Amino acid sequence: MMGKNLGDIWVYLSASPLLWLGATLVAYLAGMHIYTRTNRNPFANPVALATLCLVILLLVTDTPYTTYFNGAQFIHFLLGPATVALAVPLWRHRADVRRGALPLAIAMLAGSATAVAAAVFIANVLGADKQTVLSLAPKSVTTPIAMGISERIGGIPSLTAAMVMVTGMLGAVFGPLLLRWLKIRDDRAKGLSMGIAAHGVGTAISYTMSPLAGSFAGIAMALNGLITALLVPLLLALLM
Amino acid sequence: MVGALATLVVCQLIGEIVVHGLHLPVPGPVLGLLLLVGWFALRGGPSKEMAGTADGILSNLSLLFVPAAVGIVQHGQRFMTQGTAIVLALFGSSVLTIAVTAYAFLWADRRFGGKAPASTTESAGPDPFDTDTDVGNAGGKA
Repeated sequence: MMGKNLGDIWVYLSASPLLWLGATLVAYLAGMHIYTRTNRNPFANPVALATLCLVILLLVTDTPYTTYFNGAQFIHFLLGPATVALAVPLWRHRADVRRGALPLAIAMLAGSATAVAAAVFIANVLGADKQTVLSLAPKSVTTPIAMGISERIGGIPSLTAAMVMVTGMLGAVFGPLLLRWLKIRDDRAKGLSMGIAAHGVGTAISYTMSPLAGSFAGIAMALNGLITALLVPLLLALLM
Repeated sequence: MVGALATLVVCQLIGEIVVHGLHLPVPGPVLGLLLLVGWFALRGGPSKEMAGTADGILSNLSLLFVPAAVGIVQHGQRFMTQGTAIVLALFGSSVLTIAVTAYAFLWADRRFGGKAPASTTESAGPDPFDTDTDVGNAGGKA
């Protein structure tokens, strides 16, 4: 009797967007909690933890991604307005941007081009298929922009999103080590390179280095979205 | 809050319409971002309401990544067969990008910058130190 009732509830809930919307919020809060409790260990990235929980949950309950997304789309939808909202930090740091405009532009162009070209080149050499390579191209950009680019060039947006996450984690873990090893001491250079290579995750790490590094990482993340959107079609035409 | 949210959504909407109408290679929200910066320039900056709403959304940016990241569940097969290529491409590209960006900035700053490092202070009005044009100063002051 009880089992039948639970079954009924499950049938009702699994058809309603409420279940997976709630699950996403709870998984994220749990991930955030663990992240804070481990002193913001980059290996305990909240998005990665929440994603892992939800993927296991989907596999265990044999729920298709489309059903999950039916609920989670309400959160996903906000990525567009959030991208537009990046105008606010960009506006706040406009004086920094203007002051170092030319060195910044040169570094941004070099970094953006390297991020796209190196990923496409390495994946091609190692025999990844065309859709994988196209999905990889915009992986250093913050997710909403990366997914938009991926869609435009014929990649798989959800695959791009997964790659963006892995990129952010790699940058957050290895970026600071690499910068130390390369003896880079200028906070602006540190922030720029972290923001370009590892988008929002790199920006968060840069803020822990210094506010100056953090603000340059934020600028780099916002501008990299624009530059990569323009560069990717050009570079793909050259490389593929 | 609602006004600011409406502004964000309308900027994105105009961005999407222009991008799809003109077949531009840029995502709609990126164009929306530029539009909003332009709007701030006309208005002399974001309203308090807009600043608060944007900060609120951006401080929870990570949450917004989750639904898309869960999409990895659809690509298990691809990660099984091409996982090595994907991870090595991401790792190699990240390392190269960090090194190239940092060195390019240091080089360009020595060559074209030459002024005191930018400050993090947020100057609302015109910048008193911005009188000479450091942007086109190709001579460099080292």
